[in-house]
Amino acid sequence: METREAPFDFEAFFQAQYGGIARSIGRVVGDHARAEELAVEAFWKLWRSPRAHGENAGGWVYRTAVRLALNELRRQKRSMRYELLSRDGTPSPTPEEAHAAAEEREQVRRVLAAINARQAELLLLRSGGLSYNDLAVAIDVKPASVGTLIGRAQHAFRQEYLKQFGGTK
Amino acid sequence: MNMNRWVDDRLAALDEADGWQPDTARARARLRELDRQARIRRRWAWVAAAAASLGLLTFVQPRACAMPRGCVQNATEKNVTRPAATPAATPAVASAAKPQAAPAARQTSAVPNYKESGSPDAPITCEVYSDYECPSCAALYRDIMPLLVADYVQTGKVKLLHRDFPLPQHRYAKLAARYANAAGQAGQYDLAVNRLFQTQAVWSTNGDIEAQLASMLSPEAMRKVRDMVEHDSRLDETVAADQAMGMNDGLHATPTLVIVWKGNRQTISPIPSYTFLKSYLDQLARQ
Repeated sequence: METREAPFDFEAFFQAQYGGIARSIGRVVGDHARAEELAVEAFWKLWRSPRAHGENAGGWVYRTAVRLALNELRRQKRSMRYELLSRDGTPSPTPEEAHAAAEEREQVRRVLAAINARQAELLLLRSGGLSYNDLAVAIDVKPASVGTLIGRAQHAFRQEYLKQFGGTK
Repeated sequence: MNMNRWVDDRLAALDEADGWQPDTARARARLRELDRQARIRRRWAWVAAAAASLGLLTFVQPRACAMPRGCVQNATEKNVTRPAATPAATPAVASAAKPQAAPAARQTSAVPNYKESGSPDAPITCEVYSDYECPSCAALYRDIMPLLVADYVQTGKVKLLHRDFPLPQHRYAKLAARYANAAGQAGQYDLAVNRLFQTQAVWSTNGDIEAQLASMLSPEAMRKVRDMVEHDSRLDETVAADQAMGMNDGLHATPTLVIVWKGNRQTISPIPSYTFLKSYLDQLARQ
């Protein structure tokens, strides 16, 4: 009896996607070494989840990576290592723009760590370029609800940002 | 203020232009190491599972009624009169209408039996009782059967035999079995079985089994299947003979596996994980 589908080429998928996934995690956790560890963890989860193998594997591993990154961000915040790590991972603030960007980056990470995890996940997935349909699949909601959820997430992000850093940006 | 733009501008700050290139080779090596460690852990788990299964089979009598998973026959239906049990319930035998002569007929029949696959000389036979409308049976055919076929049936270690055991509470199960057996007569048994399990959620709501098979079989094959389902009473005999054999095996739930080895019939229910099953079959093969 022949019931097997065409095998999923994990090796090719890994080679094509690893860099992007590691960078996606890196932009959240701000620590390249830790980002690479978490990216390996995301692919290891994919390897061990045969049901995720297939055409949606990209979205699956990306969503997993974002979750791992946010968990790491919260862990860093809890253990008070966040500040040290984020400062170590940012480039030297010699030019004023670079310094301002690093400061902004740190603020955004603090806000992402503070708001609802699902809302932070949604914002990161969206900023990573996922379409509304892909987002709907990734977070398991109807496509028609995605816009509303993003609106709420953006509102929560802005409220938290203004609460922590003030101003009318 | 444009909220979209405001948030996007903030999130864009996360993008660093620092030229960082993640080390793919190092990550791949780490994945391989994780896989190696997992394999070692699994190997020990298999050893433990094999030891446990041997102990279980040595000291515990088969318990056909203990089914935490799968579909259990309704209590009110258990006393329904079944045809007399026969040691063989294959279509070739059933159509001969002489069930008592079944073992000899099955061994000597020159007609390929569509319900069997694998080498006739395989030392182990796995008889799988299933109900096409049973979700656990569909899961078995999706998750375990492909592995069993690849590792044991295609390598000549195991002969596989399908047996029908439609449960009374499943409205379309018997009709589905008729379609599958008709497809078998038309030389399309495996294709039909897989299709029926894959689309179980669809046809079990409306009974339109034909629509699912028609999308897989050729028009010519479908015409033959349709004719047989409508007119061939031997299809019911085939199913009834399998059910009788199942009753003889003490079965009242699906899916159930009967492993035949050196003349002994071992009923296994519920069907364990493939890892567990594999360790058991490997133990038998080594003895």
